[in-house]
Amino acid sequence: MFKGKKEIETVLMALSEQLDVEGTGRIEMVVCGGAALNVIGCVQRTTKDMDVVAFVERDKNGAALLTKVSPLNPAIMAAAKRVQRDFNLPENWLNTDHASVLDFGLPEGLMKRVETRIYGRSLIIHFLGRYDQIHFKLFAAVDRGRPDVHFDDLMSLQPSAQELEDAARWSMTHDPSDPYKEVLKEFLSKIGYKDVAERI
Amino acid sequence: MGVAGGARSEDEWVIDPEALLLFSIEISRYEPRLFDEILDWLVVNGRWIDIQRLRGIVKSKDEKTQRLMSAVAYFLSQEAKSYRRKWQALAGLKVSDLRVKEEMLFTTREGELFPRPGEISEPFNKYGFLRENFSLRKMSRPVSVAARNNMRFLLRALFGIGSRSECILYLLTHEAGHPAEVADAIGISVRAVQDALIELSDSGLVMTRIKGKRKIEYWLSQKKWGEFLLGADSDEQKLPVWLDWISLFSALNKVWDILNEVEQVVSDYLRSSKLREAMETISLEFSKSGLDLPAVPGEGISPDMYEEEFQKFIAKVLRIGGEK
Repeated sequence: MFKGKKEIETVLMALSEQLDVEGTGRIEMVVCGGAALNVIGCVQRTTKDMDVVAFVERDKNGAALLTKVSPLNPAIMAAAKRVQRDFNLPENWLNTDHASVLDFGLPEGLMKRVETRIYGRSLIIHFLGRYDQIHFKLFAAVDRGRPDVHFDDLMSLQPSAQELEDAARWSMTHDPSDPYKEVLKEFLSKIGYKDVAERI
Repeated sequence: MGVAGGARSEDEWVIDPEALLLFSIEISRYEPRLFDEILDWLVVNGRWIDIQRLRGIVKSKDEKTQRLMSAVAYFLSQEAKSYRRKWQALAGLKVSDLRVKEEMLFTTREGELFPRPGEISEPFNKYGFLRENFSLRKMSRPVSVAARNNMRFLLRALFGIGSRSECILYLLTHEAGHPAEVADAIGISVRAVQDALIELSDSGLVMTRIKGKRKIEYWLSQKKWGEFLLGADSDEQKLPVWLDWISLFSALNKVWDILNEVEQVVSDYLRSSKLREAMETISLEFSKSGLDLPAVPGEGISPDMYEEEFQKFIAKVLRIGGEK
């Protein structure tokens, strides 16, 4: 369990050193969720894991190409396993549970909004920016259908009506069903964004 | 034991000469005088070494240790002429070949190699180790079989070297044992142990009893055997205590190796991680040894505290050895 930004960054530095031992070369990941929110300073709360949305590969011109790597490759798994043991973390502390989001597309221009941090020689993390976190958190909160950590995070991000509308439209590309749209509208109305609910 | 120098004999643990020999020749590469005293002792007392058992233990070690043991055996086959054939058998276990890079036999405690000698010792050079030509001091004395912790030597004098002595020693220091567990503890094959125990039980002085489903275990009257082996006043002279020296020395070797390895690691975190990883196997071996261990530093210890806790644990283990 990470208590906050400092612990998250200590663990990521350790992961970088273990990746070094594994000889993986530099690994770039896009991370969302509570860990990302803590590091970019949007929330301060405990979180149990680190959600990897995608890995970043670079073409010969250095342009980023997002790839889905699920499950994690063996060298990254081995490095993560040692970090898990050393810091007494949950088994699945570094996971790709959210990687499927890549199948239906990420919010347009996501990589321009990420906050990038370099950890040691072998790890670069692109933390999802606030705007994109609103997208992910809205989708997760509606999906759960009850107040939980995603709902709390969404509220902490203090989204504007326009941001919520963008997030709602993006989430409907991931679940285009009518029942989802209904639940989404109801959710938006409940949290005080009836106008947004009516526009989508 | 008869090695020249000061020693205390009040230890309650029974010595395992094969495990001790193997550990000592590796560790004394940092202390040439000790290395040579071991050779000196082996010239006088090597007849008590169980070569079969030693070979079994050596085979589980790395190539360099096997080569070093073979070099020592080769040297002894030349020096201890009465036991030439005995040592020759082990000398052939692992010889040097062209792929092996010659290395200095001794290093300082700081890990610096000794300078290349002018006159090279031929027996060691044959196995890829460089050291100066030397003569033994011939100060070693025959091992004292009367000392409680030298019980193994006493039994070997009585029953001969081999599985019988080892089985009796095990039964003297354990309530009972079935062949597989005895074999595992003494480092001899189950078949050899089973045969020895069956024959020993024919004497009527080693008994059998059924334990669980069709499991026969062997036992003996420790009181009667103690009186016989230690004398009439054996009530005051307790039987020695069993310790799995093979596991203990293996654990200590691993501690030595990991400390050498982490010395090169700059990162505090990686040092702690490597120590924690090594502790997983080291603690298993320590616990197998039979020592009453302190708590092993576990998952609750954060990386920034682990190195210190590792050191404390090892210091406590070594203190247990010193206090007993």
